[in-house]
Amino acid sequence: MASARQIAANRKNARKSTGPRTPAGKQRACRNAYRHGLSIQTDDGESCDAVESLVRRMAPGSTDQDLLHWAAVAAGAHLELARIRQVKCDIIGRMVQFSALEPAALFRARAAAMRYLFDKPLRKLKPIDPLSIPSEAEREAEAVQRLLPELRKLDRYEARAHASWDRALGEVSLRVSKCDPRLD
Amino acid sequence: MNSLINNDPGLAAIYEENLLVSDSQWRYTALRDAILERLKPRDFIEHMWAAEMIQGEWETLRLRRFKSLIITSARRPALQNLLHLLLQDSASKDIDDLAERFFSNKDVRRKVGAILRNFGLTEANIDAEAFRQSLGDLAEINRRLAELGSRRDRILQRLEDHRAGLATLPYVDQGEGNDRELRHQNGGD
Repeated sequence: MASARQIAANRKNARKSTGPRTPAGKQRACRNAYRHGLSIQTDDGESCDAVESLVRRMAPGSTDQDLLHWAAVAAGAHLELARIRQVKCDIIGRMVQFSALEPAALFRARAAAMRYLFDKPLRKLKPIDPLSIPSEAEREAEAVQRLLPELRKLDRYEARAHASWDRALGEVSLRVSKCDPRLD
Repeated sequence: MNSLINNDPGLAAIYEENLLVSDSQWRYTALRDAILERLKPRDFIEHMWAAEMIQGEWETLRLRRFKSLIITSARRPALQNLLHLLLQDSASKDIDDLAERFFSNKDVRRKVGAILRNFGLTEANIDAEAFRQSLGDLAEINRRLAELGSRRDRILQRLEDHRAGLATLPYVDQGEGNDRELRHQNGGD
Protein backbone atom coordinates (compact mmCIF):
# COMPACT_ATOMS: atom_id res chain seq x y z
CA MET A 1 0.00 0.00 0.00
CA ALA A 2 1.50 3.33 -1.06
CA SER A 3 1.83 6.03 1.60
CA ALA A 4 0.11 9.41 1.29
CA ARG A 5 3.49 10.94 0.43
CA GLN A 6 4.08 8.43 -2.36
CA ILE A 7 0.59 9.00 -3.76
CA ALA A 8 1.18 12.74 -3.77
CA ALA A 9 4.55 12.24 -5.51
CA ASN A 10 2.94 9.94 -8.09
CA ARG A 11 0.25 12.49 -8.85
CA LYS A 12 2.82 15.25 -9.16
CA ASN A 13 4.90 13.17 -11.56
CA ALA A 14 1.84 12.11 -13.54
CA ARG A 15 0.98 15.77 -14.17
CA LYS A 16 4.31 16.13 -15.92
CA SER A 17 3.30 13.41 -18.41
CA THR A 18 1.19 15.31 -20.88
CA GLY A 19 1.91 13.18 -23.90
CA PRO A 20 4.19 13.84 -26.84
CA ARG A 21 5.25 17.47 -27.37
CA THR A 22 7.29 17.49 -30.54
CA PRO A 23 5.61 17.18 -33.97
CA ALA A 24 7.53 13.94 -34.59
CA GLY A 25 6.36 12.51 -31.26
CA LYS A 26 2.78 13.53 -31.96
CA GLN A 27 3.01 12.00 -35.42
CA ARG A 28 4.24 8.72 -33.94
CA ALA A 29 1.69 8.68 -31.12
CA CYS A 30 -1.22 9.31 -33.49
CA ARG A 31 -0.54 5.86 -34.92
CA ASN A 32 -0.50 4.10 -31.53
CA ALA A 33 -3.91 2.57 -32.08
CA TYR A 34 -3.12 1.57 -35.67
CA ARG A 35 -3.21 -2.21 -36.16
CA HIS A 36 -3.76 -3.13 -39.80
CA GLY A 37 -5.75 -0.23 -41.27
CA LEU A 38 -8.42 -2.51 -42.72
CA SER A 39 -11.31 -0.77 -40.98
CA ILE A 40 -10.76 2.46 -42.92
CA GLN A 41 -11.90 3.09 -46.46
CA THR A 42 -9.18 3.85 -48.96
CA ASP A 43 -10.45 6.25 -51.58
CA ASP A 44 -7.05 7.34 -52.83
CA GLY A 45 -6.51 8.07 -56.49
CA GLU A 46 -4.49 4.93 -57.09
CA SER A 47 -7.25 2.58 -55.95
CA CYS A 48 -9.86 4.63 -57.90
CA ASP A 49 -7.80 4.11 -61.04
CA ALA A 50 -7.47 0.40 -60.33
CA VAL A 51 -11.25 0.08 -59.80
CA GLU A 52 -11.94 1.98 -63.01
CA SER A 53 -9.55 -0.22 -64.95
CA LEU A 54 -11.18 -3.41 -63.64
CA VAL A 55 -14.67 -2.03 -64.40
CA ARG A 56 -13.63 -1.32 -67.98
CA ARG A 57 -12.45 -4.92 -68.33
CA MET A 58 -15.60 -6.42 -66.78
CA ALA A 59 -18.07 -4.31 -68.74
CA PRO A 60 -16.24 -3.07 -71.84
CA GLY A 61 -18.08 -0.22 -73.55
CA SER A 62 -21.22 -0.72 -71.48
CA THR A 63 -23.46 2.21 -70.52
CA ASP A 64 -25.79 0.13 -68.36
CA GLN A 65 -25.67 1.98 -65.01
CA ASP A 66 -26.61 -1.11 -63.02
CA LEU A 67 -23.90 -3.17 -64.63
CA LEU A 68 -21.32 -0.43 -64.07
CA HIS A 69 -22.39 -0.05 -60.45
CA TRP A 70 -22.03 -3.77 -59.68
CA ALA A 71 -18.78 -3.98 -61.63
CA ALA A 72 -17.39 -1.15 -59.48
CA VAL A 73 -18.53 -2.92 -56.30
CA ALA A 74 -16.91 -6.18 -57.49
CA ALA A 75 -13.70 -4.37 -58.41
CA GLY A 76 -13.55 -2.55 -55.06
CA ALA A 77 -14.14 -5.80 -53.17
CA HIS A 78 -11.49 -7.57 -55.26
CA LEU A 79 -8.92 -4.90 -54.35
CA GLU A 80 -9.99 -5.07 -50.72
CA LEU A 81 -9.45 -8.84 -50.71
CA ALA A 82 -5.97 -8.32 -52.17
CA ARG A 83 -5.22 -5.71 -49.50
CA ILE A 84 -6.35 -8.01 -46.68
CA ARG A 85 -4.22 -10.86 -48.03
CA GLN A 86 -1.21 -8.57 -48.23
CA VAL A 87 -1.77 -7.46 -44.63
CA LYS A 88 -1.96 -11.12 -43.56
CA CYS A 89 1.33 -11.95 -45.29
CA ASP A 90 2.95 -8.85 -43.77
CA ILE A 91 1.80 -9.75 -40.27
CA ILE A 92 3.08 -13.33 -40.59
CA GLY A 93 6.36 -12.07 -42.08
CA ARG A 94 6.83 -9.58 -39.23
CA MET A 95 6.16 -12.27 -36.64
CA VAL A 96 8.67 -14.59 -38.32
CA GLN A 97 11.29 -11.82 -38.30
CA PHE A 98 10.53 -11.05 -34.68
CA SER A 99 10.90 -14.68 -33.59
CA ALA A 100 14.06 -14.99 -35.72
CA LEU A 101 15.76 -12.57 -33.32
CA GLU A 102 15.85 -15.31 -30.72
CA PRO A 103 14.68 -18.61 -32.18
CA ALA A 104 13.45 -20.74 -29.30
CA ALA A 105 14.97 -23.94 -30.67
CA LEU A 106 18.36 -22.30 -31.17
CA PHE A 107 18.25 -21.01 -27.61
CA ARG A 108 17.28 -24.46 -26.35
CA ALA A 109 20.04 -26.08 -28.37
CA ARG A 110 22.63 -23.70 -26.92
CA ALA A 111 21.34 -24.22 -23.38
CA ALA A 112 21.50 -27.98 -23.85
CA ALA A 113 25.04 -27.71 -25.22
CA MET A 114 26.08 -25.77 -22.12
CA ARG A 115 24.49 -28.39 -19.91
CA TYR A 116 26.37 -31.06 -21.89
CA LEU A 117 29.65 -29.33 -21.10
CA PHE A 118 29.08 -28.78 -17.40
CA ASP A 119 26.67 -31.48 -16.25
CA LYS A 120 28.46 -34.69 -15.26
CA PRO A 121 25.62 -37.23 -15.61
CA LEU A 122 25.15 -36.14 -19.20
CA ARG A 123 28.86 -36.12 -20.18
CA LYS A 124 28.47 -39.18 -22.41
CA LEU A 125 25.85 -37.58 -24.59
CA LYS A 126 26.70 -36.21 -28.03
CA PRO A 127 26.13 -32.51 -28.67
CA ILE A 128 22.81 -31.45 -30.12
CA ASP A 129 22.46 -31.65 -33.87
CA PRO A 130 22.64 -28.10 -35.29
CA LEU A 131 19.97 -29.16 -37.79
CA SER A 132 17.40 -28.76 -35.00
CA ILE A 133 17.38 -25.02 -35.76
CA PRO A 134 13.94 -24.44 -37.31
CA SER A 135 13.53 -23.88 -41.02
CA GLU A 136 11.74 -20.85 -42.50
CA ALA A 137 8.60 -22.96 -42.99
CA GLU A 138 8.68 -24.11 -39.36
CA ARG A 139 9.10 -20.55 -38.15
CA GLU A 140 6.18 -19.45 -40.32
CA ALA A 141 4.03 -22.30 -38.99
CA GLU A 142 4.90 -21.21 -35.46
CA ALA A 143 4.10 -17.60 -36.34
CA VAL A 144 0.73 -18.62 -37.79
CA GLN A 145 0.02 -20.66 -34.67
CA ARG A 146 0.77 -17.67 -32.45
CA LEU A 147 -1.17 -15.32 -34.71
CA LEU A 148 -4.31 -17.43 -35.04
CA PRO A 149 -6.51 -15.05 -32.97
CA GLU A 150 -5.25 -12.06 -34.96
CA LEU A 151 -5.71 -13.88 -38.27
CA ARG A 152 -9.25 -14.86 -37.24
CA LYS A 153 -10.07 -11.15 -36.96
CA LEU A 154 -8.66 -10.54 -40.43
CA ASP A 155 -10.69 -13.49 -41.73
CA ARG A 156 -13.82 -11.62 -40.64
CA TYR A 157 -12.82 -8.61 -42.76
CA GLU A 158 -12.02 -10.98 -45.58
CA ALA A 159 -15.34 -12.83 -45.29
CA ARG A 160 -17.19 -9.52 -45.52
CA ALA A 161 -15.21 -8.41 -48.58
CA HIS A 162 -15.64 -11.84 -50.15
CA ALA A 163 -19.42 -11.81 -49.65
CA SER A 164 -19.59 -8.38 -51.28
CA TRP A 165 -17.34 -9.53 -54.14
CA ASP A 166 -19.36 -12.72 -54.66
CA ARG A 167 -22.69 -10.93 -54.80
CA ALA A 168 -21.45 -8.12 -57.03
CA LEU A 169 -19.75 -10.47 -59.49
CA GLY A 170 -22.93 -12.58 -59.60
CA GLU A 171 -24.89 -9.44 -60.52
CA VAL A 172 -22.34 -8.52 -63.18
CA SER A 173 -22.46 -12.04 -64.61
CA LEU A 174 -26.26 -11.95 -64.70
CA ARG A 175 -26.29 -8.68 -66.62
CA VAL A 176 -23.41 -9.55 -68.94
CA SER A 177 -24.79 -12.98 -69.87
CA LYS A 178 -28.12 -11.34 -70.81
CA CYS A 179 -26.48 -9.25 -73.47
CA ASP A 180 -23.44 -11.34 -74.48
CA PRO A 181 -24.23 -13.40 -77.61
CA ARG A 182 -21.14 -15.60 -77.05
CA LEU A 183 -22.81 -17.17 -74.03
CA ASP A 184 -25.96 -18.28 -75.92
CA MET B 1 -0.56 -19.04 -69.65
CA ASN B 2 2.27 -17.14 -67.98
CA SER B 3 2.85 -14.96 -71.04
CA LEU B 4 -0.89 -14.24 -71.36
CA ILE B 5 -0.94 -12.90 -67.79
CA ASN B 6 2.37 -11.05 -68.05
CA ASN B 7 1.39 -9.32 -71.28
CA ASP B 8 -1.95 -8.09 -69.97
CA PRO B 9 -1.66 -5.58 -67.09
CA GLY B 10 -5.36 -6.10 -66.20
CA LEU B 11 -4.89 -9.85 -65.82
CA ALA B 12 -1.55 -9.38 -64.07
CA ALA B 13 -3.34 -7.18 -61.51
CA ILE B 14 -6.00 -9.76 -60.67
CA TYR B 15 -3.54 -12.67 -60.59
CA GLU B 16 -1.17 -10.81 -58.29
CA GLU B 17 0.31 -13.23 -55.79
CA ASN B 18 0.84 -12.83 -52.04
CA LEU B 19 3.54 -15.30 -51.10
CA LEU B 20 5.27 -15.92 -47.80
CA VAL B 21 9.03 -16.40 -47.67
CA SER B 22 8.67 -20.19 -47.43
CA ASP B 23 6.13 -20.33 -50.29
CA SER B 24 7.56 -21.72 -53.50
CA GLN B 25 7.11 -19.39 -56.47
CA TRP B 26 7.50 -22.34 -58.81
CA ARG B 27 4.78 -24.37 -57.06
CA TYR B 28 2.45 -21.37 -57.02
CA THR B 29 2.91 -20.81 -60.75
CA ALA B 30 2.36 -24.53 -61.41
CA LEU B 31 -0.87 -24.51 -59.39
CA ARG B 32 -2.09 -21.33 -61.10
CA ASP B 33 -1.35 -22.70 -64.56
CA ALA B 34 -2.99 -26.06 -63.78
CA ILE B 35 -6.18 -24.37 -62.56
CA LEU B 36 -6.26 -21.98 -65.53
CA GLU B 37 -5.65 -24.88 -67.90
CA ARG B 38 -8.58 -26.73 -66.38
CA LEU B 39 -11.00 -23.79 -66.17
CA LYS B 40 -9.97 -22.06 -69.40
CA PRO B 41 -11.49 -18.68 -68.47
CA ARG B 42 -13.31 -17.13 -71.45
CA ASP B 43 -13.77 -13.53 -70.29
CA PHE B 44 -12.53 -11.15 -67.63
CA ILE B 45 -15.29 -12.10 -65.16
CA GLU B 46 -14.26 -15.73 -65.40
CA HIS B 47 -10.66 -14.67 -64.86
CA MET B 48 -11.73 -12.94 -61.63
CA TRP B 49 -13.37 -16.13 -60.39
CA ALA B 50 -10.32 -18.16 -61.44
CA ALA B 51 -7.96 -15.75 -59.63
CA GLU B 52 -10.00 -16.01 -56.44
CA MET B 53 -10.04 -19.78 -56.70
CA ILE B 54 -6.26 -19.90 -57.12
CA GLN B 55 -5.80 -17.73 -54.01
CA GLY B 56 -8.10 -20.02 -52.02
CA GLU B 57 -6.43 -23.21 -53.22
CA TRP B 58 -2.98 -21.83 -52.45
CA GLU B 59 -4.05 -20.88 -48.94
CA THR B 60 -5.53 -24.37 -48.52
CA LEU B 61 -2.21 -26.00 -49.47
CA ARG B 62 -0.30 -23.63 -47.22
CA LEU B 63 -2.56 -24.31 -44.23
CA ARG B 64 -2.30 -28.08 -44.73
CA ARG B 65 1.49 -27.73 -44.68
CA PHE B 66 1.29 -25.62 -41.52
CA LYS B 67 -0.93 -28.21 -39.85
CA SER B 68 1.70 -30.91 -40.17
CA LEU B 69 4.45 -28.49 -39.06
CA ILE B 70 2.43 -27.48 -36.00
CA ILE B 71 2.05 -31.13 -34.97
CA THR B 72 5.76 -31.74 -35.60
CA SER B 73 6.78 -28.78 -33.45
CA ALA B 74 4.41 -29.94 -30.69
CA ARG B 75 6.26 -33.28 -30.39
CA ARG B 76 8.90 -31.95 -27.98
CA PRO B 77 6.46 -30.46 -25.42
CA ALA B 78 4.32 -33.58 -25.91
CA LEU B 79 7.23 -35.84 -24.97
CA GLN B 80 8.05 -33.57 -22.03
CA ASN B 81 4.47 -33.86 -20.87
CA LEU B 82 4.46 -37.66 -21.20
CA LEU B 83 7.75 -38.02 -19.35
CA HIS B 84 6.54 -35.76 -16.56
CA LEU B 85 3.50 -38.00 -16.18
CA LEU B 86 5.54 -41.22 -16.29
CA LEU B 87 8.57 -40.16 -14.24
CA GLN B 88 6.98 -38.19 -11.45
CA ASP B 89 9.89 -38.79 -9.08
CA SER B 90 12.59 -37.48 -11.45
CA ALA B 91 13.88 -33.93 -11.50
CA SER B 92 12.14 -31.63 -13.95
CA LYS B 93 15.50 -30.55 -15.43
CA ASP B 94 16.49 -34.16 -16.29
CA ILE B 95 13.15 -34.76 -17.99
CA ASP B 96 13.52 -31.58 -20.03
CA ASP B 97 17.02 -32.71 -21.04
CA LEU B 98 15.72 -36.10 -22.16
CA ALA B 99 12.91 -34.48 -24.16
CA GLU B 100 15.37 -32.02 -25.70
CA ARG B 101 17.91 -34.61 -26.77
CA PHE B 102 15.41 -37.25 -27.87
CA PHE B 103 15.12 -35.67 -31.31
CA SER B 104 18.84 -35.32 -31.95
CA ASN B 105 20.66 -38.04 -30.06
CA LYS B 106 20.37 -41.78 -30.75
CA ASP B 107 21.35 -42.86 -27.21
CA VAL B 108 18.72 -40.66 -25.62
CA ARG B 109 16.20 -41.86 -28.17
CA ARG B 110 16.89 -45.47 -27.15
CA LYS B 111 16.72 -44.56 -23.46
CA VAL B 112 13.39 -42.75 -23.83
CA GLY B 113 12.07 -45.61 -26.00
CA ALA B 114 12.87 -48.01 -23.16
CA ILE B 115 11.13 -45.77 -20.61
CA LEU B 116 8.04 -45.57 -22.82
CA ARG B 117 8.02 -49.35 -23.37
CA ASN B 118 8.14 -49.88 -19.59
CA PHE B 119 4.80 -48.13 -19.39
CA GLY B 120 3.36 -49.92 -22.44
CA LEU B 121 3.79 -46.88 -24.73
CA THR B 122 5.55 -46.33 -28.06
CA GLU B 123 6.76 -43.32 -30.07
CA ALA B 124 3.33 -43.19 -31.66
CA ASN B 125 2.03 -41.99 -28.28
CA ILE B 126 4.25 -38.90 -28.63
CA ASP B 127 2.52 -38.06 -31.91
CA ALA B 128 -0.88 -38.69 -30.33
CA GLU B 129 -0.01 -36.38 -27.43
CA ALA B 130 1.31 -33.73 -29.84
CA PHE B 131 -1.96 -33.98 -31.79
CA ARG B 132 -3.97 -33.68 -28.57
CA GLN B 133 -2.02 -30.59 -27.50
CA SER B 134 -2.53 -28.92 -30.89
CA LEU B 135 -6.25 -29.72 -31.22
CA GLY B 136 -7.40 -26.16 -30.55
CA ASP B 137 -5.14 -24.66 -33.23
CA LEU B 138 -5.91 -27.45 -35.70
CA ALA B 139 -9.65 -26.94 -35.22
CA GLU B 140 -9.17 -23.25 -35.99
CA ILE B 141 -7.27 -24.08 -39.17
CA ASN B 142 -9.84 -26.74 -40.14
CA ARG B 143 -12.60 -24.16 -39.87
CA ARG B 144 -10.72 -21.94 -42.27
CA LEU B 145 -10.10 -24.89 -44.63
CA ALA B 146 -13.81 -25.73 -44.63
CA GLU B 147 -14.63 -22.10 -45.45
CA LEU B 148 -12.12 -22.08 -48.32
CA GLY B 149 -13.55 -25.35 -49.64
CA SER B 150 -17.09 -24.02 -49.69
CA ARG B 151 -15.91 -20.84 -51.44
CA ARG B 152 -14.21 -22.93 -54.12
CA ASP B 153 -17.42 -24.93 -54.70
CA ARG B 154 -19.46 -21.72 -54.92
CA ILE B 155 -17.05 -20.21 -57.43
CA LEU B 156 -17.28 -23.32 -59.61
CA GLN B 157 -21.07 -23.13 -59.46
CA ARG B 158 -21.03 -19.44 -60.45
CA LEU B 159 -18.69 -20.24 -63.32
CA GLU B 160 -20.96 -22.99 -64.57
CA ASP B 161 -24.05 -20.78 -64.31
CA HIS B 162 -22.25 -17.97 -66.08
CA ARG B 163 -21.29 -20.25 -68.96
CA ALA B 164 -24.81 -21.59 -69.20
CA GLY B 165 -26.07 -18.00 -69.28
CA LEU B 166 -28.18 -18.78 -66.24
CA ALA B 167 -26.44 -16.57 -63.71
CA THR B 168 -28.71 -16.33 -60.70
CA LEU B 169 -28.58 -13.79 -57.93
CA PRO B 170 -26.51 -15.18 -55.10
CA TYR B 171 -28.12 -15.57 -51.70
CA VAL B 172 -27.64 -12.46 -49.61
CA ASP B 173 -28.35 -11.90 -45.98
CA GLN B 174 -31.63 -9.95 -45.89
CA GLY B 175 -30.26 -7.11 -43.76
CA GLU B 176 -27.15 -6.67 -45.86
CA GLY B 177 -29.18 -6.90 -49.09
CA ASN B 178 -31.63 -4.21 -48.00
CA ASP B 179 -28.76 -2.05 -46.92
CA ARG B 180 -27.05 -2.41 -50.28
CA GLU B 181 -30.28 -1.85 -52.22
CA LEU B 182 -30.88 1.35 -50.26
CA ARG B 183 -27.34 2.55 -50.91
CA HIS B 184 -27.70 1.64 -54.56
CA GLN B 185 -30.96 3.58 -54.85
CA ASN B 186 -29.35 6.55 -53.14
CA GLY B 187 -26.59 6.69 -55.68
CA GLY B 188 -24.15 3.90 -54.85
CA ASP B 189 -21.75 3.08 -52.01
